Amino acid sequence: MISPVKVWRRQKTIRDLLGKEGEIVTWTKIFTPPPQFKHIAPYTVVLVELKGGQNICAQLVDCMDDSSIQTGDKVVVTLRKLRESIADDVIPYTIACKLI
Amino acid sequence: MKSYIIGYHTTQFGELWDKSLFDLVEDTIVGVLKNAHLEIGNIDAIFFGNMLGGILENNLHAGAKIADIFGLTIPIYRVEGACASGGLAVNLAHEYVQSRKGKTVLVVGAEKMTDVQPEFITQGLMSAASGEEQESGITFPGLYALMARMYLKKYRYDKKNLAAIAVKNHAHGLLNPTAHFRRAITIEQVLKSSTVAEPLGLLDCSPVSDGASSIVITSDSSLIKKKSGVTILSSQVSTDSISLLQRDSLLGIKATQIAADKAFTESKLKRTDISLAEVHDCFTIAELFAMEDLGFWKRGEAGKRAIQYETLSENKGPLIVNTSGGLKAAGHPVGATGIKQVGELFLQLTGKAEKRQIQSPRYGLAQNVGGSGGTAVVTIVGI
Repeated sequence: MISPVKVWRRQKTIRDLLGKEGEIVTWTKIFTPPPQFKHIAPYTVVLVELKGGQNICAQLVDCMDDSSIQTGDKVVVTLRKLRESIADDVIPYTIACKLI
Repeated sequence: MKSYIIGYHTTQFGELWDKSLFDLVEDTIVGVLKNAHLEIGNIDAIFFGNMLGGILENNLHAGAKIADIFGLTIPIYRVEGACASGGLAVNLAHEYVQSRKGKTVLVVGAEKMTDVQPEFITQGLMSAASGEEQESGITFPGLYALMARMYLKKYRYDKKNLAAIAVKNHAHGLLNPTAHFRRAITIEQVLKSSTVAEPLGLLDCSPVSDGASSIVITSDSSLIKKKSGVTILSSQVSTDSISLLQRDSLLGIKATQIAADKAFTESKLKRTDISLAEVHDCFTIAELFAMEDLGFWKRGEAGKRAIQYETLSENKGPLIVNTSGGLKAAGHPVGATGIKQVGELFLQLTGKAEKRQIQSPRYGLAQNVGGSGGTAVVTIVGI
């Protein structure tokens, strides 16, 4: 169940990550997604170590060719819509990563 | 005080379209009571391992539902720890009978997974991961794929080293009449199977299965004398962060390492005393991790030793792994798995494993993992 309050609570921490840079530690390409991601599959998810040591997990976006991804590739954290709004007209956002 | 396993039953694992969750529970309770020559009135409590009933079919308050089926008033506890729900139920039951002399309890695990489309199972299973992981669109195959890629790179292995686990466990599953899959597969078939989450293919992954398993655990000395059973020498639980993002290392499962060390210490056994293990091969990489985390093989060796099929039954090595077929071939009805693992050890140690019987095992170990390693249960039994 998604309530506006839950979305608000989750998204309080997202802004602190935006614009941060880091390096890809490992990655995978998902072919069997949960229902809310079915329309974009297959998609690439990266585990990134940000400068300062924090690890994040996010989709790699704006990358037409992900076949040459390497450990150590540099990325920056950006903002993406998580899904279409459903009840209560709240649009949830989440972090994603772009190659630098 | 000692606790003993004196009976085991499992339903068929697979796509059981004519059975509901509680049909499966009823079948396995009736089966295990018959196997142990007990009546339901001899049972002092029930521990029920189940993960997805609440999420997939709005089916909670399982204790009262089981009480309803058998007309019971005894305590019934539902235990949940993702894919380690069954192992946790075994652990709690073991602790319960040790603290109350002369008690006899049932440990039942069940899952009904094939009623819904696969993406909803994927979503339901992801409830056992962190919020950040859920929002990234990663899946459980994906989380293990992240770790698999690191392992293959670090030790310079390729997908064949993973595939060998699936080939071995299917060879074992062929001999298990209750296994979901009873057919042999080849390395080439695993490598050619459709991608689920790179680098893992469909045949690197355990299936979505229905099924229920149960054991009887007792500390009643009069029952122990009368019946042939196995002793639980140690059952240990360890936990870790729910998310991969907080782990010190992605080249193994720390919770398994800690639980295993405690279990070997308590049982006063050496790794080389174990001749039979049921490990949590939810994905092929997970069995490589298990062999290293449990301390059977050195760090980085598992890929090489897997492809030499050292733990394949017909090679008659000192340690045979996953004679049931593992999660890969026997199937993975989540809540049932941890109980089926211990049940397989019971069959082998009491000489009742029929075509897959290995020669005179004395000690067996079961390793059951929840999520991507947030929970691990290691149980050692002996005859």
